[in-house]
Amino acid sequence: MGLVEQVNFPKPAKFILNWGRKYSLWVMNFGLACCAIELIAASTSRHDFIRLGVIPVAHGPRQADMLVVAGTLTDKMAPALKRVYEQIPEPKYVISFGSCSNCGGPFWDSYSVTKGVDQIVPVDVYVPGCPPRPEALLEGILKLQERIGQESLKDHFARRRATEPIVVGGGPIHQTAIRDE
Amino acid sequence: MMAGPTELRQAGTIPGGPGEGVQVVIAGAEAEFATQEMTLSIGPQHPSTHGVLRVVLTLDGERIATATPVIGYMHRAFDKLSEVRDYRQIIALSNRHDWLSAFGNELGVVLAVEKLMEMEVPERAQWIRMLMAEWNRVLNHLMFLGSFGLELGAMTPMFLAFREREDIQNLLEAATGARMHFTYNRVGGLKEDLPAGFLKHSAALVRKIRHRLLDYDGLLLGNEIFRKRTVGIGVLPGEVAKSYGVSGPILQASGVAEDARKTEPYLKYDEVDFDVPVGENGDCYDRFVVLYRRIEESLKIIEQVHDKMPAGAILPGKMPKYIQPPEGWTYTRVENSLGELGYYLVSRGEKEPWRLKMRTPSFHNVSMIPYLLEGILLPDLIAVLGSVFFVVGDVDR
Amino acid sequence: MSPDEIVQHLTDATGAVERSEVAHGEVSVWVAPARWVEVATHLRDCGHCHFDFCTFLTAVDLEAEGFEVVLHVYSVRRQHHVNVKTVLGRENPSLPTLSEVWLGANWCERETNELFGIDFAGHPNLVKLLLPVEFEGHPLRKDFKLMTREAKEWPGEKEPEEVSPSQ
Repeated sequence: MGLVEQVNFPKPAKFILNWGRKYSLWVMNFGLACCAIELIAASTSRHDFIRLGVIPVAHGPRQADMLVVAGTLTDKMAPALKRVYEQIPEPKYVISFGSCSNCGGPFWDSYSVTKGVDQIVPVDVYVPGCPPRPEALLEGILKLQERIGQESLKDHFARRRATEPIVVGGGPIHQTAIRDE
Repeated sequence: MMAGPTELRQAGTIPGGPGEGVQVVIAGAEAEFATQEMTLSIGPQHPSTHGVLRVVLTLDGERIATATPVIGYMHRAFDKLSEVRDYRQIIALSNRHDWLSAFGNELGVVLAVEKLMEMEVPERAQWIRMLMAEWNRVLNHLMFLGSFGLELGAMTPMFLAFREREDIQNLLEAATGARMHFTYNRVGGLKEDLPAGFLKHSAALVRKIRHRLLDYDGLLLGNEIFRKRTVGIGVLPGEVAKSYGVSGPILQASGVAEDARKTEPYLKYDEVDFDVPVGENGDCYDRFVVLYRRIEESLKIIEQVHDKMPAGAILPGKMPKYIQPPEGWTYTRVENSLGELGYYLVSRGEKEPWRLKMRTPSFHNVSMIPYLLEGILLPDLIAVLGSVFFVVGDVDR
Repeated sequence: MSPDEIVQHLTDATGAVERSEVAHGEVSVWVAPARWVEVATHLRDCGHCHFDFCTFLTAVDLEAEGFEVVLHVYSVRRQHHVNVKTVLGRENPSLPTLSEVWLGANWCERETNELFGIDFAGHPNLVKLLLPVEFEGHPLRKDFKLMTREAKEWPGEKEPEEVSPSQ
């Protein structure tokens, strides 16, 4: 446990630390389906979320602060999402973009779709729509930035610890059929 | 484990220039390097714009020994879901599959149902559908022009492509209300008529895009790096492509001039004038050039539609609340942006279909990937994967 | 060839056509499962037919009558289509593979196998394609129910007028 998780910082220090964090939210694009196209459109010149400090790092989750899950999450893909989420270092935030990742969306009755990514990862911002307009993503980012501005990191970590499930012996490893073994 | 060379001797120098070096001969002719193949799994989450496709490679050094695409990460069960939905809902659900050109998916569904019901679609609705389908084709191809450049290292075409896409999406939003999933088709016609001034804006946009298309030509088609990475790479012979069921720009680049708009014209494609661009070698460069030419042909079609659009109704009278096609089966295909999109519809006279199978072009395009990838170098994999045009929603449905 | 000519040609050349149907300008022929590969090979190799494009292969669940496997092929040169169908019983449905006749049939058969449970004898790699490995059951069979719909009725089933304002 670091200093930041144990101590409640005084207001001026907290303001500056949060200001630094909220205007530099590097994002790991987890674009899955149609919403990924609107996510890319939000990062290009017309809407441009890069000016908000949100830079789409393609190098990998280890340099990211935020995960945007855009598109339908299927049961086959869920372990990959969990693995990528766990690789992002704390403090991290998750935006669920689009109706499929919020709750299953138009595929709510499918046998292969996870009805909502909040079953797999904890979500901070839900952006509804099918697909949401890029402006909706910009608003989601702005609201998240407002929340981060007031956040106390000690509470953030305490909340994360409280909701983290304990898995005795570790989780299952998933295999995929490639050859008929 | 590497068996060491039995004897190293210097056989001379390679003369001249900075690369002047030593030529080494490994004596003991049977001294082979024993190597081990490495398994590399690319995906399902990776920084390119393909989507959730996973390719498992076994590598012999830099050369790919076997390649296995693993799909199913976007399988959302369209076939099963359409058995419990009525036709209005199916139209809304179908356009979420080839999400880059959603109108084509809806068009296939309504054409299949209209064929079973032997319904006469009003003239104006057919021309407007054609206009929308061609704009969607341009949208889709622009995306691939941009993303193919991005994979090979060129960032600018991506931003240019999205600039064009935004303009087209604004235009289509004025008519349909949505930027991506239009749900504009209805069985028998369209949801509503075009707004006033649409055709004027559409014509202005055609001129603008035609002018901007030259940017891609300048940036990519003549670019030596681009040509070096794509010419002669990933050659697909026409016979193999047909056997796999590959269609659309990839088949046309392999020399086969098969386009459903020409061979079995639907809507009003027999009344407009356009060519089907065909490639010579079937390599990555040809696929890209065919894509580029198809955009030009689509713009030509759009201009002709502007001139020939008649006035009239867009629905044949009052439609019933639930569409119930008579009992029967049909396979209806359209030439969607990525290839042949078809729907095999079995109806039993109810408001939901008994079986609706979506035959997608991307499924067959991706099944052909092992043929292209085996034996090539790893850096060429990027060029080949970028040139096989697919959308993952279309592959997995 | 026109649809009727295709039926005539196939009946004469292979003698395997059990029945046929021409509707909306399209033709379907039904063959016995034992003649499946023979008919397919004829379609590909015969100069009149020249069916070189594999469009799709799938199945339809006919409940009591079993499964109907549908193969649709197209000829690029002659520009004609044909649907070749065969009916299999519900218990242990099995058919020989067509992956040697058309390369595209390989993946189509894998998909039909996992979604319907139809076995394709001689297929080089009959593992799951779209579904995860742990998935149990064959989803596209009519007796596989969508559990979300069983648990709760979809609110959109009712038209807006039928729903009272308080809901």
